[in-house]
Amino acid sequence: MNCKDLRDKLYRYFEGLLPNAEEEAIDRHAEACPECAGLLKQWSETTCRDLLDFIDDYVDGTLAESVRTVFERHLAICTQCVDYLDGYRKAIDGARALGKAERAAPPASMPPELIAAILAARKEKRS
Amino acid sequence: MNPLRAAAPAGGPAQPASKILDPSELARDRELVARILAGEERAFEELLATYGARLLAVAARFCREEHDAQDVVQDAMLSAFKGLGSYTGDARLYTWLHRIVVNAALMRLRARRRRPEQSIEELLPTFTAAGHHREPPRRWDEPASAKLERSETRKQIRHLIEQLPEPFRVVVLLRDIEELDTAETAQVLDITEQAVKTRLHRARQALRTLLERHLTGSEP
Ligand SMILES: [Zn+2]
Ligand SMILES: [Zn+2]
Repeated sequence: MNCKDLRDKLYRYFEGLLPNAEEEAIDRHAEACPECAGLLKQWSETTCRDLLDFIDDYVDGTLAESVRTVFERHLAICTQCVDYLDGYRKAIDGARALGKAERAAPPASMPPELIAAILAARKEKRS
Repeated sequence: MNPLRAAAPAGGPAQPASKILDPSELARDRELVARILAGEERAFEELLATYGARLLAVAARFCREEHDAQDVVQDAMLSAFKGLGSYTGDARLYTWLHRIVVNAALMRLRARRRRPEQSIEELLPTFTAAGHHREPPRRWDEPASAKLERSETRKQIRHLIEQLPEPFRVVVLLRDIEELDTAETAQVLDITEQAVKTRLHRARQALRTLLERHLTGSEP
């Protein structure tokens, strides 16, 4: 077991999908390797689900510095969240671009019969 | 303790730079309103001619039926006329009318709410017991995402937003399409700001799922 093997197996390790021997190999490696021990700790501290709760503030840049650091530490070790975040941003950008285009589009003209109907209804209300 | 939760909360979202108001335009708005209030027939017609088309477009973005949009504008213009005395003249008249149209559209949608609300759950990401993504999120790369800028893709995004369950469709329309801020959205929906944020968050997750299925060709 080397550091790269451990990294590749992290997900399965935490989901309990590894054979016992491999799980033990990871534990043994982590005891001897402070870097990987840190990685395991980090991975167990913050889950993908936790990240999702903070994603809007992260995208808006309004996360407190301390939270952002934790958020980005998870991103650094989780490609799933990187991909999720990428698509989430695209969804927001897509909606905003649509809004911008729709608001800027020249409107169809106001139907004269609608103007007439409004004016008539107004007169009726007043009388 | 999850460090994301343990850390101090942010000092609230940054406020958008306040919209710059052109004093001469404001003066023109105030003058038009004063003429309507003074009973000048032509002035109300002028208001309809100036703003009607844009307001009808706003209503059409909420209503699925064209005649509904027209009814919404008619209702909105009549209540605007009735409430014109409360226009204070420190925002653009269009902004004031826009909110009235949005409110009228929401009222119409509430009255129209037909089929039972479909659930959004199916469109939200799922997690394993240990809190990791159950389905690896798919990534769609430049060719597909560059398309987001193009007009036919905008039509598709429009179409995907229309597929969201009603409360979620509405919150995206208010926040991302009409650009109301969180507080204004909370006001027109009569819910708390926190509820607006939660609803928008779920709407965006669902929209992401729909986009992913659409752009990676993985319709369920
Ligand atoms: Zn190591
Ligand atoms: Zn993750």
